[in-house]
Amino acid sequence: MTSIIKTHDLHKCYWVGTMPHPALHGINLDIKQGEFAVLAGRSGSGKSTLLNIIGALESADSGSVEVFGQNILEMTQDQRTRFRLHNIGFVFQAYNLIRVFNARENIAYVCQLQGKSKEESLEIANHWLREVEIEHLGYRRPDQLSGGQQQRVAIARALASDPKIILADEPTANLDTQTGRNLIHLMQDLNQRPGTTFLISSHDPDVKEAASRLIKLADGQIVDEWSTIPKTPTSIYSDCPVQNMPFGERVQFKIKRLIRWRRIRKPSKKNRRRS
Amino acid sequence: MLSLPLKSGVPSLGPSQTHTCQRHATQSINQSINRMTLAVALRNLLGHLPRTLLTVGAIAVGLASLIFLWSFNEGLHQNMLGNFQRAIIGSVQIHREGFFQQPELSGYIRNPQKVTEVLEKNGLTDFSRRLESFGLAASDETTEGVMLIGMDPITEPRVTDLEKRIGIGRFLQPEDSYSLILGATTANNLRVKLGDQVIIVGYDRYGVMVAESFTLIGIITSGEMGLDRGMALTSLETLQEMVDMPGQVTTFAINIPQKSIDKSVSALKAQLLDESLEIMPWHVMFPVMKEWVTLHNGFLYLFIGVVLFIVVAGELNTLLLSMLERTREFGVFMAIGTTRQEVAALLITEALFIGILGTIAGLILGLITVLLTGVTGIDLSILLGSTSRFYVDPLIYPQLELDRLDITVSAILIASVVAGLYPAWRASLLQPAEAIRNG
Repeated sequence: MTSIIKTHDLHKCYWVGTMPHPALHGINLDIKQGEFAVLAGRSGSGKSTLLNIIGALESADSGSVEVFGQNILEMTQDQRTRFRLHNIGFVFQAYNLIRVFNARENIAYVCQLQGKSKEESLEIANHWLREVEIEHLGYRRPDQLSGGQQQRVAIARALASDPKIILADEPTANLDTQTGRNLIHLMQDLNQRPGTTFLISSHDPDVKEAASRLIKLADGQIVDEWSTIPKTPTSIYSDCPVQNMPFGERVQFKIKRLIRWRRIRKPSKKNRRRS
Repeated sequence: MLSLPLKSGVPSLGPSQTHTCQRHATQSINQSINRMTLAVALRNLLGHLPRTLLTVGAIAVGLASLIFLWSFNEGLHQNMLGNFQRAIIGSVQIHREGFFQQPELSGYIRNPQKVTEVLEKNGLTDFSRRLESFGLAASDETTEGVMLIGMDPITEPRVTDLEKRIGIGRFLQPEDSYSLILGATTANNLRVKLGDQVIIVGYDRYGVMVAESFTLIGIITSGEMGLDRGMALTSLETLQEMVDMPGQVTTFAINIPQKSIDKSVSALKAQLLDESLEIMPWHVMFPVMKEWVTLHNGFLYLFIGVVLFIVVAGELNTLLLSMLERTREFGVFMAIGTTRQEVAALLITEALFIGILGTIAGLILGLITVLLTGVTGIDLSILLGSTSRFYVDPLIYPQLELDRLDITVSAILIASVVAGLYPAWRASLLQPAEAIRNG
């Protein structure tokens, strides 16, 4: 599969007064098209910073970030804004919907920014509201929606601009367990059907379990990484860094991963019914 | 059902796509500024209705007070200048060259008939012919220097309202002969009363001393120093006879509407070029009056500056507060593809909306105030006591000047936009990630 995000030796340090706070320390990452990748790690491990840099929301101190072969760190602010508009969708932990717009308008707004007509934008918004199963809530404002509903609107907004990548920063953090799981299934579904690449930062076990690739960060570095997507057809575990695990845990981990792998490979029940 | 293409293959941004992005970007800027920016700005203002109304109210009150002040000022000036001109000098005077500086009878107008024709030709029918000279008024007890003015009792009321300023006795009549009107102070100094004889001593045009006895028929009690002291009025024919200048005049006093004074003066100068005449508007004869008006307007401009500062500061406060409150929202706007320019345009549009609403409200409030006070007048007598010595009536009627209205409204609108510039600039400098994180 083709790489769509590549970072090379990425460094980022925040300064509080004269005190440096290193956030990223030599990150090398390669995300392939169609992956459902999860950045895991404790708070302060650098997940959100990495996501923001990949999403051209923030600059890095050194290194390079190539998204679709373009080094976004070399772009001007306006170029980054336009790049985001056409290529990247964001889902935030706090939903971050525009409070003066209703759900439908929140989604249509990005389409209008892309230059689409109001009618076309609203039509796209309706489509995505249907996709995230809240079509009946289109005229409600964010403060009239529950957290889960707001996050669905946020996902619909992220997808409405027809992006190739969705970056989601702790999308389930503010949701209850069941709503969070529903949302994960929704994202998985959207990942499989239109083939949108998802890069999610989360420490929610459900999100990690759903991942086709898990990248664990600690202190601004990638400390662990595994993928259910095989580098070669014969070895799906070839890059699995679990060799140091105790035997029992290792077996348990591999069984879980195999189950997950099969689930990803097989069409969902919903899709089976449709086909 | 809308068909959305599913992605296949690896997308890459080639030159053509970059070009497409730029084209979309241009379209987006135009469309979003025209539609969405307006919608978002309007909704944001409506979303904080109390704050918006407070700011709009502040602008409205500021503008209304400026409109009222301008109108009051204009009414005051018009009243004062009108009274000043109608007291004695008229709007414009025509003399022989040098007469104004050295008023001697030898400086009479050589061809008054031509001047009359030119005035009538220019539609200036409100004029009065005068013969003016210095003289000495003497009673049984004392003497006092006076400006002796012979005036036509019929045409004079077209130029001045001296008739209304006679507090004791009456104004001149056509049949009067050797009748005299004195200012109250002069009459008091001479210790004369109505019906008394006053001797006027003067010089004829050859410099020969002449003296005649006049009957005091009226006393001016205007309260204005220039009129009440040193003025002696008689009929034109009487004075012409006394100084042996039948049919001759030294002065044409003309009443012209304020706005057409300069134009009329230019026309008269052009048409009376070869007559060796000086054609002087009131502000050339008495520049101090115009300077006073200019100074007074200067104070008002200062006041406008203060009001504009308050408007800008109030609106800046509102917009800055709004901008700081919405830092996260602006971060989100930027994150999902809104450019810095569009974010800045959003805040400037909000400022403009507030300015327009405030201006409309201020216009309505100001116009209603001016219309009401323009009918009822504003009585200053309680505050100032007697204002007549400044040629001001105690009752002032505000008058709205459209030129001033244009300037004031434009200034308020520009101030509103200026107030939006700083928050807009601050918002455009936001870093999306930081704004979302810290907002």
